[in-house]
Amino acid sequence: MTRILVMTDSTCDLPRAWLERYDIRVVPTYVHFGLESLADDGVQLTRTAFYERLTAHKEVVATSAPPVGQVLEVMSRALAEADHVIALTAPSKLSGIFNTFRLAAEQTAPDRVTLIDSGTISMGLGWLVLMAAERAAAGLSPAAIARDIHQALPRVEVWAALDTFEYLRRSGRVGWAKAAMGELFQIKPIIRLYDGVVSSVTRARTSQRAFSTLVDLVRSAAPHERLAVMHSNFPEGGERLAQALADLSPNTEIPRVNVTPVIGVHVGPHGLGAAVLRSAG
Amino acid sequence: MADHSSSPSETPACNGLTLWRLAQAGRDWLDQHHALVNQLNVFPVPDGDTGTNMLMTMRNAIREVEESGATEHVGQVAARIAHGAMMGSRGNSGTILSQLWQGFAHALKEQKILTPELLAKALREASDTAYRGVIKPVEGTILTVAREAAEAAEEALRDTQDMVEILRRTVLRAKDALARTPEMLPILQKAGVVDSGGSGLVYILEGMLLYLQGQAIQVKEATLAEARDLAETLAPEDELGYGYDVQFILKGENLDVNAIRAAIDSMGWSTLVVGNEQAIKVHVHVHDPGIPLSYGVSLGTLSDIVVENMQEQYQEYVRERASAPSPMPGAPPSLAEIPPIELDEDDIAVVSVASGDGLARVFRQLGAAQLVMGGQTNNPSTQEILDAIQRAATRKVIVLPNNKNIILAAEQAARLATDQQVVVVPTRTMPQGISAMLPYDPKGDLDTVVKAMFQAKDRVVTGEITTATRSVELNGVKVTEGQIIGLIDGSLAVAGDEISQVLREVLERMCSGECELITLYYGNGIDEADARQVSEELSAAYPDQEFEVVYGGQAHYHYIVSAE
Repeated sequence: MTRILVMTDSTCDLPRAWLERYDIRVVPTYVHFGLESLADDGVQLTRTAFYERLTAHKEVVATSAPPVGQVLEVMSRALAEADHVIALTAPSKLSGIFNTFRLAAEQTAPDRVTLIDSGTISMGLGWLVLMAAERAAAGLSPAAIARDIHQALPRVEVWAALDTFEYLRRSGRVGWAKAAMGELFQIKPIIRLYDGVVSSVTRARTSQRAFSTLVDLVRSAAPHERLAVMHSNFPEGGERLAQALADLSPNTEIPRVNVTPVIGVHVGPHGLGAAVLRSAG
Repeated sequence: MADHSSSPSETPACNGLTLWRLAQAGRDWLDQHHALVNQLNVFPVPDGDTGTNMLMTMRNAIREVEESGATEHVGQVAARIAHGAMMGSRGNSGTILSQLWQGFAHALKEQKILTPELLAKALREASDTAYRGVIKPVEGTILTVAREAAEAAEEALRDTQDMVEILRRTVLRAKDALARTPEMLPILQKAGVVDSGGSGLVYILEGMLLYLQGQAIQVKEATLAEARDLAETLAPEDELGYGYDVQFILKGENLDVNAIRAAIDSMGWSTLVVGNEQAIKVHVHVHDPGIPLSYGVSLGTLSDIVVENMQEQYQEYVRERASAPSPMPGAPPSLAEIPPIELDEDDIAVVSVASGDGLARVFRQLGAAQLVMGGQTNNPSTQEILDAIQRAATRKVIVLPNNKNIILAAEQAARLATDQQVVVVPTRTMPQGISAMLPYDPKGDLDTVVKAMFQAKDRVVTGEITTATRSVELNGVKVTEGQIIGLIDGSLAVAGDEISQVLREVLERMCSGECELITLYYGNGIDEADARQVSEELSAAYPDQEFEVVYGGQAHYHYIVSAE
């Protein structure tokens, strides 16, 4: 049987238990506070410490893709241990991560690496990574796994209700959010990430309105094969959202995930989100 | 083999040590300008930190050589640089830079000496490798600059063997290519900048040239100030406070820049140490300014000493920030300063009526393409609204009258605009209009957007506080001319003698139960300080609600209030 390892980048918020169960390899991306560069690996930068620093915002905060060399290291090790590597990354439309993976694959064994631009992040990417890992464990061939992932890609939806436009505007990765600053302070964007593109669903002036809009969006995509709740350092909100959606996932508890700092830079604290893999057919 | 003190410009060919020095000079020159490069960032280049990413990549590349100690063969040194860049690259620009070094090193493989021919060949391979390094190469970027630099080196080789001259022409062409990047990439033209990654590459090449020409990299005060970005000025706070900003120029003999940089770096943070064996510019943030100064004196003579207390600077900054216009309330930007939304012919435009300059800004911020000034006492004409619809120049237009007396004129104008598909969302108050703007999506389907805006307009309750122009009794409220009256969603609700009292009573009726956010738009007759005072008093009575105070600039209405 072909031994397959699954690899991804740290914008994948799949909880540790799953990463460990399937021995999924994660390459950290980077958060910069001014000229200080910290790996988004949960060690150099913990979520709690990060959000504290982000909100103090005396510094210019940015993010970057990992160096090719670092992807190369993780990939080489995986290739030494397995016959084939399936790598899923954050959207190439939003980040250079996919390209660093591509360059690394070219320098290792291109025919033994299947690289997929997931078009999504956080638990959107998480669900795809899990799908690949489960299929690999079940003994599917790399080609069969890749086919399943590609069929699942259009069924992945990520929505988020952010507390403020400010971080999205500063991030510069989303063109339309750049000019969004002005007179009104209380404007909460409700956004959608689909196929690598971040679009505006609507805006709300109150968090209650933002919350109910998010709930409506998740419900509109039912039935779900997978559903996860995300928050940016806002566990109470995440809990409340999971409660409000509990009936959509009657048999399993909905995972609540505190999004990783590299995403937190672009969305800011106190945001809520959901990642859905819609049921097929 | 060249030693440290020989003038590099007299060396016809370079060995590994020279390449190392060249790369260091490139790094230092970029170091001084990285903040400028950061400022050049425009979408779709993600993040505002191309300069930082390239600098980090260069720093790692040089560190790799320093750690390996291999300085004899250019091939070896280039390979170390390439490896260091690859392991330490950051971001897209850093990745491309590492690819450039990758190609550069490949061309020099097994070579001991860098000849003019090899330089041209290495620049060419650098460019080729970088082009392969991106999924879809785009002209008008660092790639163009790298390619044209290589071309210039090849052309120069035809009539000279002088390394300095070849590099000089390479830099000239690289700068020229950089200057032309806006012609190749419309987004740069629009943003009024040149490509940031290309600019970073020019600084690296230029630093190398300066070294070959035997010029010390002098740090001008202005450049240094520019290079110090926000992160540096606002250095991390610790239990010892912000400390001091120390700068000086150290003059001496055979100064070792790297050793001095390492020593200074160990004393504090935000270190910047550049220069040559005779003169070094030092910039560092420390808690005790005596330490770097004593260290400097032990090595040579000091001049241009500057010591600044950053605690004071920080407090100054905090004061400035507190009075900053945006996003803090205060002197808001003028309407002209808020860029209007950019729309294609097929998009949906919004034409909105606004009764004050502050409200106009709010509508523009939310995406209204055209504004028609007017309100309670100066209703705009059908013609004015029609003109605005036509100025919008999109096929689909939504009109927000934002006043019950303007709805008919808006509908009339909509019928007259026969070349466009125009829908009026009959908003009766300014807050209703603002609420309707929230789900506005210029790229959406017209029916869907109109439906969403219709629903949104009713999610807000409006209060209006004005002065009665005549005596009347309405809805059981008795009003004397000159009294202050409060309306809720257009109906007379309260009368009284004081603005703040009427406002309080109006809010009491508006904000029952579910309300989360109260926004006060104060009129052109109200002082900002008064408005804030009123808001503070009210917020004491409504601890669970958030208050926002916004300049509306409307005439006659002291306050327009929304609760949602």
